[in-house]
Amino acid sequence: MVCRISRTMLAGALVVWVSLLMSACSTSVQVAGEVPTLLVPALSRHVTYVEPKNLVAYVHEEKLPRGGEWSIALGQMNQVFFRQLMASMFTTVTRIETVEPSDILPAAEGKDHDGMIRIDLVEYGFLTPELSGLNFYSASAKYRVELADASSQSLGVWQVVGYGKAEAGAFQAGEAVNAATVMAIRDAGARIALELPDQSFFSAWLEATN
Amino acid sequence: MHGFTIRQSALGVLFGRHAFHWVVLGALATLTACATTRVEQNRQMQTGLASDEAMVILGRATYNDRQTEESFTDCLEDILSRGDRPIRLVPQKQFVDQMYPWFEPRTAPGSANDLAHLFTEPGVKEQIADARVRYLAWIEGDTVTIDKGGSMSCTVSTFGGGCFGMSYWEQDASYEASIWDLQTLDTSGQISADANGTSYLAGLVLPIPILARPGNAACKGLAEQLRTFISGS
Repeated sequence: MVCRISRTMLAGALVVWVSLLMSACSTSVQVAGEVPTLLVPALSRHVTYVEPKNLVAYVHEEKLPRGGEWSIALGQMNQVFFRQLMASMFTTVTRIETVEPSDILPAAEGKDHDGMIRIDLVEYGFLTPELSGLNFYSASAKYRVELADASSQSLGVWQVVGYGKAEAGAFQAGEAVNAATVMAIRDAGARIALELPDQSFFSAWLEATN
Repeated sequence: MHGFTIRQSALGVLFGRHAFHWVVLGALATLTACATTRVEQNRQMQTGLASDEAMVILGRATYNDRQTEESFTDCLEDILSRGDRPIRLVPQKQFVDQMYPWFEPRTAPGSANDLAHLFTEPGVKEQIADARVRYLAWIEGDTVTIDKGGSMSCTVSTFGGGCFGMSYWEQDASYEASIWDLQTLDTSGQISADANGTSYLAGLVLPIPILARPGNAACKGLAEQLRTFISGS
């Protein structure tokens, strides 16, 4: 009996030890954060927000030379953040989901709207203090924003990079990467809200749909 | 009952025979080194805060390799919201979310002139008025290690283990608060706090830290001066 308990305990300890070793080598982050409402007047347009599958299911996986394996799931944060952003930027928003690649916009038949906006996450990257030599975790997210008119004809594409950084806390690498990624998404959102209307193709569309 | 007796005698051995050593080690562990703090103030306008008015403390975030630590602004908020004369504070995160996208690192106003420009944007003035925010204190600075040295080694063997040697590190905490009046849209003044201190880690079998914590000293100095400055007394 004593022998059996000891073996069970030993096996349990071994499982815990192996899991600890494995968890030390891999970090999984489900990106989550506050989703603010824009303090910018909404543009009085009816747009169709085209939400691609790869934006809302985006997972970044990377093996760092001195930082183990990382899996960073941004999709859910992208989904709630950009839905909120579109809802704050325009007075009326209709959303459609798509699995088509970024250069294909859905057909416009039967849609009573002023235009379409599609947002794709093109690239995501992050740095740990070990790699950057700084005392911060940093993240960048590059988005592709495409505007099309009411008949699905592309009017222009604008790429925007959001950047964020967060303090490096001991044993809190996942939290710091999450905070830096949320900041990068917020930064990109701020740029879309403030700089997109200044892009020539966008302002021309605003005039045309006035 | 038998088990209890054994445990009791084990504790007796631990705290009875070595009680003196534990007390000495405990006392050493709570030792703190000195930090020298200097606080300076530059007032440009009269200030005062009504009971229903609030202040926001914001850490200046930049895209370079330096940034005010969140723990420093948290420390300021903690001290200012307590004590004999507590100041009503709107938490940094809440304010930044309510003002989105105008107080993100890329878009935040860099000067009182920028602030006046920001107030012309629709909704900004109204949002600040609704929150009854009268003052905004921008905190810039950080704590850096300017010197370190010494050596300490720790060993563990089947016969026991311990740490021997001594190491030290000198830290410099330098922060400045720039206070903006959101009613007059002008700079009310600046307060700077500089603290310097050397921490030690002595290895006397057990590693015993003797910490100076200049960041904490700068926080306390800046917070008390900020309280006096804002209340106008």
